[in-house]
Parts: sequence; C-alpha cells; structure tokens
Amino acid sequence: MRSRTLSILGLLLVSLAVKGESCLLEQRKVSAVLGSSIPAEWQSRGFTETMDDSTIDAGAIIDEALDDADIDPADIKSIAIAGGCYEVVRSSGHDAQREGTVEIDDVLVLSFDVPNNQTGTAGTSGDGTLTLNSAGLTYVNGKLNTFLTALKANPDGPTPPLVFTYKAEWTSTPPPTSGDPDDFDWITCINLQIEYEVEVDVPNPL
Amino acid sequence: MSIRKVCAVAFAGLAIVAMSAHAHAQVEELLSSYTGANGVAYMDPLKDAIGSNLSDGLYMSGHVPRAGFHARLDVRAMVVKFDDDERTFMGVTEDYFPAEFSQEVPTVIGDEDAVAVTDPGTGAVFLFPGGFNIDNFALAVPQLTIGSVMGTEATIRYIAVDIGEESNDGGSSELGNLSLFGIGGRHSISQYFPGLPVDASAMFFYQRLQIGDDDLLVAQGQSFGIQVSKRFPIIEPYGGLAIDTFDMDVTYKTDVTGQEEEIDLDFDRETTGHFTAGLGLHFGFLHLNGEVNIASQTSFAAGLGLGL
Repeated sequence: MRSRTLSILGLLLVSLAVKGESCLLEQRKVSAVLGSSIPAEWQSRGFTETMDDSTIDAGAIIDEALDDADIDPADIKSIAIAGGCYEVVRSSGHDAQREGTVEIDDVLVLSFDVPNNQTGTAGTSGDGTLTLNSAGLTYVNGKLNTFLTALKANPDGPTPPLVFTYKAEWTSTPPPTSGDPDDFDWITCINLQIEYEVEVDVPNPL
Repeated sequence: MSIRKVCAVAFAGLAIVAMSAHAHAQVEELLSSYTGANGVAYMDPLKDAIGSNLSDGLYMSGHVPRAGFHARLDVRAMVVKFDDDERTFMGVTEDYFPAEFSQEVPTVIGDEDAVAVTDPGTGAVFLFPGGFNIDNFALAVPQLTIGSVMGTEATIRYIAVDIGEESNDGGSSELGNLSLFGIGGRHSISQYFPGLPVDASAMFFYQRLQIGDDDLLVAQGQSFGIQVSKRFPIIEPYGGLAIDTFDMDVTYKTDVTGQEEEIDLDFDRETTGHFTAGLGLHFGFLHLNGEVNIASQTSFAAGLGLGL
C-alpha cells in the first residue's frame, strides 16, 4: 500500500514537471524608461569671454546609450526632454555669479542663474537655478522625434544624423578682470527619458 | 484545484530560476530612471515579499530527537500573494524635472504601462516606469537537516544560479549570479519537560540572498522562535511563533543626471512577529507539508522531503 502511494505521488510529480514551466511563467510587455543626457562642455578663460559654442553629435550619444542598455530601436516608444542640469567641473580663477542662456541651433533652450562657479557647483531645472524654455523643448523634442523615426526605419543602418549646435552666453557679477581672470570648465545637459517596451517572462504561479 | 494552482504548488521551485533569467535583469533597467526615494518605494513590495519568503518553511515539526543520527533533504517553496494596495505608490518627479508633482504610479509588481506627468509651464514630460504586473512572488530552496546532538539539529539552505545573460554582441550581462544561503539550528525544549503533550523546540536561522555580482540586491534575514507539534501516525499538525528581522540593499548605476553615478537604496531594517500554522504528512521516508504564515504579509509554504 505504501509503495503504491509513493508510485502515484511520483507519477503525479513527473507529469506536472512536464507542464511546469509553461504554467508558471507569463509574458509581460513592460514600459521601461531609460534615463540619459546630452551634455555640452563649456570653457571660460581670461576676462573678456562672455560666450562659448560647441557642436554635439547627439545621435551618437543616444545611440551609445541604447547600445549600452541593449535596447532595440524597434522597441522605443519615445525620446523626450525631462529636465536640464549644469555642473562646474573645474575652477581655479575668478569666482562670480553667472547668468545667461544656452541655445541649440539658435533656439533658446536653457536659462541659468548660477550663484558661483566653484568646482562642484551644480544645479538642475528643478531647483530654480536653471530654467527650461518651452519653445526650445518643442524644437529639440521635434528633432528627437525625427531622429527616432529615422532610427526605427533603418535600425541596422548607420546612426541617423542628429547634430546640435550649442551656444552659451553669460554675464558675470562681479565681472572678471585682467588681475582676476576666469579659468573654469562647466557642463550643461539636457536630461532625456527614453521610453521603450521590454518583453519579460515573469513567474506568477497563483 | 485547477491545473494552474496545481502547477503553482508543484513548481514554485522554478520561480527563482525563471525570474532570475529575465525579470531580475530588467529590474536594474526599470530602476535606472529613479535616483532615491522613488526607487525605494518602487521596490518595496519585493522587499516585503522576499522578507516573508525567507522566514517561511524553516520547519515542519516541533520535534527534535534527543540523540541519534537523522538526516533529511527537503525542497521548500514559499509564495506571497500581493495586496492590491502594493501595486502602486505615490511617485514624485525627480529633482531635475522643472516642477515637483506627485502621482500614483506602478511599483515593481504593478501595471506594465508607464505613467507620464507633464509640466504645464515648459511642456517637459516625466515618465515613471511600469512594473511586472505580478500577483505573487515565489522562492524555492533545497535544505538539508542533520541531527541530533543533545536534542539539537542543524539546517542548511543553499541555492546558487548563474543568471549571466548573453547580450546581442555575444558578451554577458553584468548581472552575474543569484545565491541564497541559510544556516540555523533547532533545540528540543520538550526534552526538559517529559510530561509535555506536544513536541516543542526553539529555533534560530540566518539567511542571505544575493542577486548580481555587483550586489544589485542583497537581503539578510534572521528568525528566532519556538515551534510545537503533535505527531500522529501519518499527520502532524504544527505551529510556531517567531520574531523575524530583515534588511535589504539595492545598488545600481544610472546616468540620468548627466554623469554615471551609483545609487544605493538602503531599506529600513524591519522586525516583525511571525505566526505559522501547518500540517505535515509522513509516509516513511517521504515527508510533505503545507503551512500558512501570518507576518507583515500573509504567505504560504509547502515542502517535500526525503529522509528520516
């Protein structure tokens, strides 16, 4: 009697083992969000500079972020700006309040009012020192959307072009002098959120 | 019982492997847009579930022989059913967003869809990621019990799974391994009270769960308690009271703020009372048990063991 009971239990377990994985796992399509950013680096030297410009290959930055996270372009739903940030990465000269703007392709995107330029000084569009311009966001988001459309249309091809021409202008209070010149490097960034869909098998046994 | 429920009971043991291969890999991605309090709240249901599961299924009897060799190999499976209110939390937009907004958004077990918040002043949009949309969380682990010396037995739990995942370029992910290690012991109390109508024992157990070589998730739990049982020819009802302590850390990287930084989510250490009621079945060398556990969450455990 005991051996028969054990045999029945054994058969039951074996038969369930065949069906086990399929009844345990369920597939989900989860909307994930990858945080990324497009930084621009600025330098201020001497006592007459009040602007700097640079050209940023934003397409390459986004493409690298997607590669690092192993995201297939076909799974991306949107790429959009969620904020902005700045940080003084090095400073050894004049210290002053800095007020100014950052334009992308001659469209105002960021305004800043930074209390000083000491190394490590940082802020975001959420703390009042950096302001996003709605027209600028519309312009950049439009560019990002065009980039995404091109990327999805040819996911195995070269990265579609997305190059931004940045220009920063500022005033300093008090201004630098020949005896106390500027000598600092800083970055601004636009924070991006990339929404994408990821398929995942999850255990959900009951 | 539906086939779905039969499968659940029989194969909860696969959960730890199944979830590790895919879902754990995605947890870090889902967290990458959070830098602090949002991450803690997002992961909180999983923390509670892991804490409950680790404290379940540690025993199936109050009996510990006073002397003589005995050994038993068990597989214990533990399942926590989530409450509806654990599916969401009040998320707050991250500090780089132009304005602070609170919004009810999914936790790691919540709905799959992301939730968007728009700042009317600038048009900036903040997205809160979706969850895995799961109703429960299961863990299973083999454990070996050996005794007895002066009415004391020792139990070890251990499972290690390689959850490195091949990426598109042929390399492996940074996820690494999942491991669960536990060790503890029980000491017979009833040996000191010969007239006691039930078997009674005291227990201490320590466990450590680690996911990822970079310590994506590290959880530790301790349980201290007493158990009683009454043995009949086949069945053995049992129960127990315990104090559980549990803490968990989650560490991941994000570059959402412009530079890569490591985020360390340190969850508060929790101490909870834990009540267990269960029934064991003994067929010679084969032992089966099922139990319900009432602690911070209500959970269920089942076991299958071979040995004396």
